Amino acid sequence: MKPGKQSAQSMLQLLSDIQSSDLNAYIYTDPNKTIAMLQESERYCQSNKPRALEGLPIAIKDLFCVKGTPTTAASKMLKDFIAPYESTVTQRLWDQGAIFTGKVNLDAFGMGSHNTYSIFGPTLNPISRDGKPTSAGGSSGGSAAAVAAGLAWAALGTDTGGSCRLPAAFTGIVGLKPTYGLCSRYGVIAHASSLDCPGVLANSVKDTARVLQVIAGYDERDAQTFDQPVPDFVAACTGELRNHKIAYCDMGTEITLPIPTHSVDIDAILEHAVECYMIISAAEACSNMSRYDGIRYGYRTESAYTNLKDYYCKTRSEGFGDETKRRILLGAYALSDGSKIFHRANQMRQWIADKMTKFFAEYDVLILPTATFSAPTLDSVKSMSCDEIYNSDKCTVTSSLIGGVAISIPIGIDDSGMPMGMQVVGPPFSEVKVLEVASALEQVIERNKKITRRDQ
Amino acid sequence: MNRVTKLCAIVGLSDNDAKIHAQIDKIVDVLIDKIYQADLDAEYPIWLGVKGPKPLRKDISKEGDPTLIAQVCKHSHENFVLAPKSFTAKENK
Repeated sequence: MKPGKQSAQSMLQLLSDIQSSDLNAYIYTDPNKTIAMLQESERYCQSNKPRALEGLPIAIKDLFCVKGTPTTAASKMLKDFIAPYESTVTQRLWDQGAIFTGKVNLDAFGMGSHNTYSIFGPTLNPISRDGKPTSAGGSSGGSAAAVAAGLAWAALGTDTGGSCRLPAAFTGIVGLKPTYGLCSRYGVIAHASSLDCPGVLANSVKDTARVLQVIAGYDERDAQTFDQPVPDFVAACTGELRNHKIAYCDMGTEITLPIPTHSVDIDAILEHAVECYMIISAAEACSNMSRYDGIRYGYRTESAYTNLKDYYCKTRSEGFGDETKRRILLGAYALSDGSKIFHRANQMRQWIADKMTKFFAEYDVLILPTATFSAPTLDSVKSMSCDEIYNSDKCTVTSSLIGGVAISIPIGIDDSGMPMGMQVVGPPFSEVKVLEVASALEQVIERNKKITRRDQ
Repeated sequence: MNRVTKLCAIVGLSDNDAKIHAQIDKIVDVLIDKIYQADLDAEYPIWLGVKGPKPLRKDISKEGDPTLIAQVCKHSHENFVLAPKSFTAKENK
């Protein structure tokens, strides 16, 4: 699809496909809203040049406020919440002619790596392992599955520690985490505020850049956004490899890239990134989740209670899922005893950032796998320990900790026929360089189409 | 009172889920052990505040004001956007 007038017939077919899909990618649709937006787009096209995303159907992760629609964060805590206002990035999509297809599934509050911690149940990967229900990745699993299955042209996700990139790699599409502060978090339900980034999932690097072009830029309602001109990201997607110095770390996967690279060993930098990320994100999540007490925000217990403390306890225990509880407790521990553990993790984060700054003084970008394994079945996810699940993000958390740019692109399939993703990573504000390299890599990689679709 | 029971009381969660108890104990031990295993100077400085494509960084621990909070406030005031641009200094007062 390209920006422009879209036929009503194709949109109706898309809505029908969404309704009949058994992937559990969509958790809310509003066909009347979708058709109304399509009609508005048609009217606009009659007298104007098509806008940047004219008529393109885009799915929205259910962490973004879309005015008048349920915004649940896939948690019982917000199951009845109707957004009273519009997030900045979704407003920018609609202003450029994009069509809302619905809200898509996620791990509750964006906490998870396999989309298994949702009150709506797990999203299924459109590409199955051995014909069994397979992880779509998380937390933006609904966004990835919707795009991979052709149920949206693109989707918005959020990326705190890899939540756009891991699902993209598992489903064989492109997932982008932009620089922290490039896209506004206004109207996005908070998980870990120093790490949260709105991100994009689409079928190609150029389509991803098209969406980024629209949503990027300063927003006075998010003090962490940067007031500077937005570069031309779409123009960067030429597919040509310029004279970049590219570092490559295969993380033991023994994958050979079809472009010239410098082999590097960054194990020492990545070694403690997961625990550093987990402690910082849990501490921030613990703080952000404190607002959900059933009085100021969210679900309120219907059980009898004896006093205020009992009321809080019942409300929060019933409203939060297990993973959210684990993160709250871990975060509270990290912040106890004078926040010594949190302080240590922040020192570690600074150490990683300093090392990566030196690294990027020598190399333009770093390429490394998005994950060292492909999508597991949902049964095998159930048997994973928390520690194993947290380690799913081993390759993605470093760019989150440094606030940098990272894009996962599909590089083919592994021995079991499952998609594999490779990340192009750069320092903050290196989107143009990262997109140039990703676009070139995308061009030279022959995507193996021999994949088993779940519905075949 | 054990560690997880204390934490549950702090954050307003029920203390009767044995599975979460066991998991939290393990997660805390694994993560904390690893972060302290790292070969990192105990005084490694944390730099706060990043603004613009060329990060403006200051080591707040080495500035003049004796109280950390005062330093952080001063630093935030200098380096972060605290009010919408449309506000004038007069309106902010």
